[in-house]
Amino acid sequence: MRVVNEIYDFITGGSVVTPVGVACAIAAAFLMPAFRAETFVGIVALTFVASTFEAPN
Amino acid sequence: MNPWVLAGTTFFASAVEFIEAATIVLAVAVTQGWRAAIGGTIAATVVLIALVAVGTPILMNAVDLQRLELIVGPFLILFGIGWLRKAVWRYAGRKALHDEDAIYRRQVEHLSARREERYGFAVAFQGVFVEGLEVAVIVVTFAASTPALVAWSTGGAILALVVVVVATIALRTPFSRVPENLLKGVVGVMLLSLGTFWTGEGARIAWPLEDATLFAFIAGYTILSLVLVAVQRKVFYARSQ
Repeated sequence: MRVVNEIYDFITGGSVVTPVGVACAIAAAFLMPAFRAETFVGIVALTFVASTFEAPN
Repeated sequence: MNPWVLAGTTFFASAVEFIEAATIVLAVAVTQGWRAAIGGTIAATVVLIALVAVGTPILMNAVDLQRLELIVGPFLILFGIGWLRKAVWRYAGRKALHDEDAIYRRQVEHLSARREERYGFAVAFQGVFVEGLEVAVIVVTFAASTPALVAWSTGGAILALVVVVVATIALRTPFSRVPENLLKGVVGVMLLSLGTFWTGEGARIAWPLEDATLFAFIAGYTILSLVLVAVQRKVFYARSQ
């Protein structure tokens, strides 16, 4: 379990928001034919903004 | 793809990580001797180079470029956000700045309690390997995604390694005056921008400015980060009052 946590922290920097946001951005890019670029970039940018409001680790 | 963007990103990312590793190696050298410090550093560097040398062709040959961008791009977004949000927290005063002098003193104190060359070798190896692993992953993703520019992406990392090693041997003090947070912010913006660009291409988004879109991302994320620092300074300063 500790190894899994270490790998998760290594990839995500300990963020909960970031992996969910990135998954949503990719899904939106595939599923929304209109404004794909705007939607994708918007979700990535929002994910970054939200991640900065998480508690520092 | 602009080769300077790739080389600059791997150079600065490597420089930051190698500076942190140099603090540990220096503490090992002072307490356990240079043989253990240099031995651990060389062994970890060889393992990291082997990971890049093996990982790059595997990744390049496994899938086509578009799928590859969809695999490596999200990793770069995750790494980029990880670096950039730490820089934002530090500039906003929510997280203490990285103090190489304090880390060096702690390491020397810790290592002085156990003077053993084998232990020093292990600490130096672990320090260089752990700090260098993220750089190795970044170099592999860059090299696999832009095979024509592999010399640029690996060259940036190798140049940073040479600069930090030479400076460590010459100065023999921790790099406490290097603006690490600024470098981390720059690397974060570059990784996030490249990650956004490549993931989008992998998802078959046609960027309106083609390759120049990358520079729009760099500008956009830089401005967004500066705004976030200003907002968080106000919000969290007001909460602490």
